[in-house]
Amino acid sequence: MSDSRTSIHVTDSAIVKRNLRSVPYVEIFGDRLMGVVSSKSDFRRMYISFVEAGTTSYNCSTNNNRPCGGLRGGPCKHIKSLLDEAVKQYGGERVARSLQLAGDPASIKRGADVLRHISGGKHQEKASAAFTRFLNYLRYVELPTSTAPTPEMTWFVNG
Amino acid sequence: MFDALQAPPEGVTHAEALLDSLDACFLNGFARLGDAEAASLASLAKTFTGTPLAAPVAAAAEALAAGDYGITHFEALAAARGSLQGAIHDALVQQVRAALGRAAPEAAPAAAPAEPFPPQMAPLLESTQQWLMELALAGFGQLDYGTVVPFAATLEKLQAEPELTRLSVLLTGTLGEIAAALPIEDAAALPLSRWVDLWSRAMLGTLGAPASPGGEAFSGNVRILGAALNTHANAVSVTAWGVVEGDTPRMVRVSRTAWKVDQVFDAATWQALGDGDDPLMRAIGERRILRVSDATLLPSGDLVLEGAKVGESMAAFSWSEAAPAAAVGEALPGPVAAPADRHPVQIAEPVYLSELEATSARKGDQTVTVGGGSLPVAVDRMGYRGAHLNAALSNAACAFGLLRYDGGAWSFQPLALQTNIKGNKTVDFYNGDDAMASIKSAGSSNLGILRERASKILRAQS
Repeated sequence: MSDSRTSIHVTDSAIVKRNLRSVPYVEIFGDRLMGVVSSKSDFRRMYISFVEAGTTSYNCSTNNNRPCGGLRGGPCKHIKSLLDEAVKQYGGERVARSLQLAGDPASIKRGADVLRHISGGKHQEKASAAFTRFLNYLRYVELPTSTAPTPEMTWFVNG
Repeated sequence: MFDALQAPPEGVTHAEALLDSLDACFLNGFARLGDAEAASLASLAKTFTGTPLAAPVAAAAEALAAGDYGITHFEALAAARGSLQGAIHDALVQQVRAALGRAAPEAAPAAAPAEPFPPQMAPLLESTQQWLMELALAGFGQLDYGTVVPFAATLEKLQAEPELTRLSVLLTGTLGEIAAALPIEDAAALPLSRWVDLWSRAMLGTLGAPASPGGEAFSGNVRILGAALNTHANAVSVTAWGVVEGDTPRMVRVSRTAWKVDQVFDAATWQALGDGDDPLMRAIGERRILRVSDATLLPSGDLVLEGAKVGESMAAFSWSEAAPAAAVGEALPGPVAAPADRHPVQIAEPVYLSELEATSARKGDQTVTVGGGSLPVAVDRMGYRGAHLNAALSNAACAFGLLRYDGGAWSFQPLALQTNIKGNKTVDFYNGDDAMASIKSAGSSNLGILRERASKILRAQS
């Protein structure tokens, strides 16, 4: 990013391919890390989980806003899966920076490393915002392709 | 030939300095303009004296310095910036065409006024302008979640409007990039002129659809010499560069843009662009002749396949016989940016280089040399196959690619190479040789998984 006079810029992206079957969607967006964890028995049953930056408050509920039964006294296994996949997708440093975790970002190598920093409590909230983002994520793969020239894409070279 | 491209022409540096002083206002934020920024705006206004933009830019400079923030003033700044970039573009295109022994393109027709978008889209466009204005007021160095993230709701609605694809693809990439940079720790490290580019382009994109460029009916055979991929987390665009046979061979671009998600990347992006029976994918991936009838050839040299009959020949063609049509000194009428799209980043002068010498020393340090002059390789534009290409480059005997300009310097973006290893000549089609294998595995891929979920879950919601 040193040369501010360039229009083309390869963005920092440590994206690594992950398997989307159990955790179809993970996103760092705004001041939270959120995602969707599918139930192993029926992928239509989904757990919507998030961890908030700074406070490290978290929540997990079904897409019908039923609280997750695993949230007793701490984050549930869905949050752990979500964090594992987030570290895979974004790299530990980006996860640590986004959640404003104390300590060395390089020490975040898997979900469990993030869990150790989670001191916030359960923050009950409707799952609808994260679920809407997930539905929009799915919608991307159904939007039509365009055969018209799209010179705007010239600015984007990776991702 | 590359000797003539070692520095930009006179005038470009001066125009770039004007852009830099305007960009500084965007870094600090228009809500906190200091005397230096106000002076920059006044000097920008002076530059436009006697042009159609004189009055709106002068009004904007005065109003913004006085703390009067109206959308029209920001539109005027976007137009001024676009106009400067257009002038820089024209000077650079002349320079590169002269260096290649090609005639300068005919003077670009003035950009026709944009056609208004349908009235039902007005609320979406106004909300987009409002967001862009808030970014400019806050300043890129001060952006926070509260300014950036709420726009996602508007963006989702924009994405659903096919007429607004160009705008929504741009805004999606922009929002993603800015959101990923938050919280901003070092404002001085931001890619400032890029962000102001994206901002200006988006602001101009809200004003109306580019006027219909017309175009002529086209039927013919296209031999694709190379392809470029452009991607951000949520979209991928392929642009194939092909030669059309005829008395004077000409070059056309065929492009396609698809939406995707972040977990569809590298070779998997081809899966989003087309399936295994798609003639364009086969033409690129298997190097077959693309047979086109009833397509539209735009004045920009872009071939639009919408509504056309398209097929591909069974036989692969000889790249080494077709590519010299783009050699230095060949007239090669070909693609130019549409009037409203003129910007240095869009310069892509196609050229076939024979007797090429390439060095592939350290990463990011490669150069190509032809007849004594050298240019750096445009490593930033080469995408996920860049590493593969770098390895092949040292054995390249000739190459087809694009001359590019960015950051004050020219570079060469190779799209295909012919390597010569111990007399064994192989064409390396670096974007595309892996396309068909990837497309064939689409069903079991992440894209396949998401498409299956989407078909069930989205249906259940509606």
